[in-house]
Amino acid sequence: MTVLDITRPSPASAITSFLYRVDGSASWKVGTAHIIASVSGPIEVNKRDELPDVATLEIVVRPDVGVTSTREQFLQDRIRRAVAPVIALELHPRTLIQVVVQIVQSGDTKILNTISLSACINATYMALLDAGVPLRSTVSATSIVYYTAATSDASKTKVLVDPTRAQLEQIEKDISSAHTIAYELKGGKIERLLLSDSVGSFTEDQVFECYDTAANICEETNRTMREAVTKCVQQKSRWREA
Amino acid sequence: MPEPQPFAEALSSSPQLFARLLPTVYFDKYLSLDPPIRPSLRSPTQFRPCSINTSALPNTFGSSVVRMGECIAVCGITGYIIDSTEAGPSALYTNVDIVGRTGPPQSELMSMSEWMYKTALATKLFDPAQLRIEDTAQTVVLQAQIQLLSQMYSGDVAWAALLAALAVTRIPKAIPADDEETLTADFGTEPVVRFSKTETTKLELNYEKLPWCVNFGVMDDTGLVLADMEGRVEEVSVEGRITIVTSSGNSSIQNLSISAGKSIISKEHIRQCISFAKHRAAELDSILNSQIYQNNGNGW
Repeated sequence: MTVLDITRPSPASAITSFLYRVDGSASWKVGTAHIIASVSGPIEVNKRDELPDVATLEIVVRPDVGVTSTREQFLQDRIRRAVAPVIALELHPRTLIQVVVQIVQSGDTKILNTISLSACINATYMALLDAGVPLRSTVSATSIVYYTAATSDASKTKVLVDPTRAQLEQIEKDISSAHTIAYELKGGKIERLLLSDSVGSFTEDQVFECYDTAANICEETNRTMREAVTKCVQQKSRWREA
Repeated sequence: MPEPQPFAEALSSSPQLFARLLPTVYFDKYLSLDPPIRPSLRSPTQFRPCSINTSALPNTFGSSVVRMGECIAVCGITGYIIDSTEAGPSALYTNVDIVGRTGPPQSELMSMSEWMYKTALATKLFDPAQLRIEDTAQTVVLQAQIQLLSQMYSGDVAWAALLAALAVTRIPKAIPADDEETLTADFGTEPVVRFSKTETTKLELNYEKLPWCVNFGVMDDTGLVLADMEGRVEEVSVEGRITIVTSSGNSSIQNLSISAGKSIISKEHIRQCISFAKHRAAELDSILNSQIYQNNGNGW
């Protein structure tokens, strides 16, 4: 198992329970990406979308700039694949769990979807947690970018984790591959891989290296989520101390 | 004695009805046979038969028709001229659609369309510099229109159609037309650039062995890997998915998408799938090459 020793340029931070008209909300910031997710559910569902044995999960992604395009459809599909296995949908049949993800700042360049995908997955998970939707385990996601940096002697492959937009734009022409990886965790420890999306040009060894590195980063992200939730619960319970 | 067996008639039903009502049980019945087999009568590691036809459509720079099992995709490549010296991300625009679609596209189709465009961009199939028109500040950009002809569709068939069409694409030479002129931004005039009807140059791809797309399913409980998923029964019964875009040989991989669903996907699964994918890519290369050879008569 080869693990790259890298730290993120800026740590992730989260806030929850700040929207009042929905059951749960979360804001996730990492690097230059900022995503807000809200969850309402289980709520009433259209007869057309009703499923007899499980809850219907509806995920809507709204872009930061411009109108909804195929990019948002792609993000919706990938977020669903990462998050749906972890929700106990069978506990609420014939209802709807509605997730709305607003991209405040995508942190991506025009040709990538990587950064916003991992941030959206994290924001969605935290919002589901805040809404009290029954969940089996924790989800956390991260983005890893490989690029070739021409150094004085030869070109070397370098790696960035959750890079900022400025960093991405600087290395844009040299990006060789971009990876978004989401893991399922139980008790703060990695349980299994949920979703992985890798584009560019990479070797089998690089992709396994990514998975191992992402496992460490995701455990750290999980701790960040736990701290954010602890803080929120403490805030909500302050009436008890009076 | 009363009329015999009205119950027996009501209880027996066709296999098709069984497949529709209880697809997962239907699927399990097939897999529990020895050796395990799928409803399409393929073994778990067997790919769909594939046929490729190229250069069948008129008025295109390149075209292809690819059939894998029950899925059919047709790709036509056309181009137009833009006022820019560098094509950049617009060098190849891909659009995927279903023939005879009424109403807005389904979300699955839109998602596939986005995946194709981003993958084509990231895979760097060809160098956009060869599309530049000499002696002008203009370049050609390509548009690939991919039409899916069947109710069942998958990204790998659409991608295969795109690759096959690009492999035979010839760009017509763009020449200034002597008889027509157009206004420039500073109110001067310059000749209109038009496509020649006779002179064409072959589009050079960056890959000698093309990066084909191959998909796999991974079963929840047994972790069994199924190659080349197709059909509603398989789609509903198997949630774990691995999609790989790679060329054969020891070269790098262009795209790897894993969605575990409820299954546990190990590194062994991934290694096995990459190895199968490379074999399939070699197989598809030879199918395409023999088709091109047939068309040209003496190779390319």
